[in-house]
Amino acid sequence: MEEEQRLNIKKEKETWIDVDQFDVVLLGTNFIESILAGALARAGKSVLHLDKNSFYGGFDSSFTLSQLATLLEESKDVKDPIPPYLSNVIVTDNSKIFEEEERLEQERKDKEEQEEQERKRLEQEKEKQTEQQDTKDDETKGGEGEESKGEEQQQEQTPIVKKPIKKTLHELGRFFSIDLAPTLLYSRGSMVNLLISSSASKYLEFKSLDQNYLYAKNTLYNIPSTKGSIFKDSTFSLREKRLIMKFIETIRELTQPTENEQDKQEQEKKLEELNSKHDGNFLKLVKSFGMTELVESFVLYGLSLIHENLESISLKQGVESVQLYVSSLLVYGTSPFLVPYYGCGDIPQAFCRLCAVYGGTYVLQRSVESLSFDENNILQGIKCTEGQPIKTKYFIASPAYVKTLDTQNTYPTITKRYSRFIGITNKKLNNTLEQSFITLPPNTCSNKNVINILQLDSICVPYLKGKTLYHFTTLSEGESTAEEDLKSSVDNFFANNTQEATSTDKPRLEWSSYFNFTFETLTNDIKEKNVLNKDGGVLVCSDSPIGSTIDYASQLEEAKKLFEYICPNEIFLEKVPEPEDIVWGEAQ
Amino acid sequence: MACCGGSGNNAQPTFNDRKSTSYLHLFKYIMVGDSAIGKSNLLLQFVDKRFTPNSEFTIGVEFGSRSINVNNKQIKLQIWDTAGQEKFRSITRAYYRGAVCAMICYDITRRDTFESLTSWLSDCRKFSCGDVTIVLIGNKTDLDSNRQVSTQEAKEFAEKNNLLFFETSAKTGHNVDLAFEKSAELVLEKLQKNPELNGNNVSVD
Repeated sequence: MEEEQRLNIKKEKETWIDVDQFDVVLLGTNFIESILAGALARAGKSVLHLDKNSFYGGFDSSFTLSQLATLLEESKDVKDPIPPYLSNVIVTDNSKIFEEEERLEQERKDKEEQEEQERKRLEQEKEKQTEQQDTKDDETKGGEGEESKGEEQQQEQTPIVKKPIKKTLHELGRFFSIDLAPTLLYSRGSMVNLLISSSASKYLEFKSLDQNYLYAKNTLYNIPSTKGSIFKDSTFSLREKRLIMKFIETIRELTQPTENEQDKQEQEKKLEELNSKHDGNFLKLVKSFGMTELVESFVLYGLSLIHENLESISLKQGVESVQLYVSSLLVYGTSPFLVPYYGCGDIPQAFCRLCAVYGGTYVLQRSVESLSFDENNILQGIKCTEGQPIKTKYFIASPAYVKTLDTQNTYPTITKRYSRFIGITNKKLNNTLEQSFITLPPNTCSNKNVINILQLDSICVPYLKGKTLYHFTTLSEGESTAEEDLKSSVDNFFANNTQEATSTDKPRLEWSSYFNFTFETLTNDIKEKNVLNKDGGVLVCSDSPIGSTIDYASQLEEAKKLFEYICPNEIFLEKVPEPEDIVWGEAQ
Repeated sequence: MACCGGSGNNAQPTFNDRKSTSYLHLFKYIMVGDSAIGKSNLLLQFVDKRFTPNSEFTIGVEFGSRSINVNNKQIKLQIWDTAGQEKFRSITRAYYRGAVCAMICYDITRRDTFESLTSWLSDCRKFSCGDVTIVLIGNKTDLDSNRQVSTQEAKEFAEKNNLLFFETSAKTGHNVDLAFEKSAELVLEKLQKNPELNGNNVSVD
């Protein structure tokens, strides 16, 4: 008994960590922490990466339907939350009603079918009887034989005809991967480039979207993917098409990659000219083309995908955004966008795996209780919720953790809030391709800000058989709730009950939720300070800064800056040699 | 423990040789189970016919591949290692994705590693999508004198949970090839019945 106890104590010690010194400790496995962990381990730093949750990614994770429902339900009870958090949660689950309706409908159909069969059988019998009456009495026996055979056959057939039991939404939902904050990746964007250059892409699978749309004047306009498709398009007038092409050509000339020094100088000169002509403002540049209202929103909301504070977007930013869009076309598919097959939550996991492969230690369900500093306010180490203290030079976490753990120093942040809607329907929107991205410019459905809609089916989301998943995202200002921000656009596209769905031919919402997503980010200014401020080894990184739900450029930049601070002069996520390229036991 | 590789250190095949081999299917295999039961060594034994005693988990190596012939079809097995994330039960869900076969391993000389099987099994079923083939591997038969888990008991566990079962030695190579070959046969059989098992997606590289 004593022996057993001793062994148990020994075991407990062993299950906690046998190393008590690391170069870097990170808390939280969200995007920035995970990318950073991968980069640091790759550069040879010893890394301990913790997360208080039992899963990777925190709010950047992808959830099954039941996990999502639980998470939303739990968010309702949180009083005075600190970011990141979900609020104003409304969940509507009509799936059972629809499934019951479908079952009754099926029963009715089955009954009709049965009656039809019965009617046919009786008719046949009648015919036979008439035939039999025509024939002689001694042949009747044979007729009976045939009839009983027919019955037998029918009896055999009945169980085969029985349809397989349809899985309910919640049964299928066990395998869904739904993002709280889905993000599209440009095929030629910085995240895809990094995934390729670091070879972390081997841990992920991607799907290409089919089509992007602009919703204006109650019409879905294709945002064309090629020159050819612009000219085939029937929604724009010839003059409008010329304007679009002229704009794209101008951008292309400005940004075409070139090796030639002279061409490069030429490009820079042109950009400089435009810059001074339009006060470095993108909106002014667009206005100078004299476009119609429709073409203008097409360019501002369809081709450029930075929409926040439209008036203050710099010419350079806007041009780069359009250039990124155009150069990402036809890389992996007709749309410029990719989505990770199992949700965006797999991206941080890919970098965590990379970190682990390079010796990083991972412990889930473990948080940091306190930090210790010396008399000069320099970090000495951390203490976890259990186990021995751990020495470390750097501690990195998101604002919420750092603010509670390090009260001696101040870490100013800004809070951002998005309104979100997630819906699962029985079918896709009419006249759209399956995997689509739809942009709603301001004031289309009494919306103040741009609304982004992502439509995905089982091609992009595994196990979503026969259903379509929708994400609506818009920046939320002031105190407005997600429902206030998004309800009119949601009602514009979807039906809430079967009656409405039948009369309007709209997809029917089977499960849906409105919620606000609030998180903290560092402003660019603070980001600089964070890196320059040698405040003794405690570094802050933003919460899931989903930006405008397009690409991860800002997260990457932040991770890179923190990396360069810790590892100056080292390569950020150098390519990992392919396993097939490693030659075992052979000298060069 | 003396070094006792299956083959000597000279004239080893290289991974480069195998790269050129064409194959009909690529199967993703994953290894799970407690720390220090020889998962990486099983992988290395199968892929490279070698054994590294007292190996700390190998930095920078995460999976190995080998092509084998199954029913006259060339199949490339890509076997993924846990990269040490099993130590604190912190394997990413992404690790399980797309795997057609999971090898759940324990050490026949350590009872506790056998006791952990139930939770590894439940993780495999929960996180691998679809019809994953699961193989139970009792490793270290070369240390039979220290055995703490009987073959019979493990066999019953495998039968109860519908698993293939092999006792292996990553050190001597005993049963290692067989375990991979037999499981690949089963995966291929399932795949022929349901071609959707091994879906194709865009890979960016």
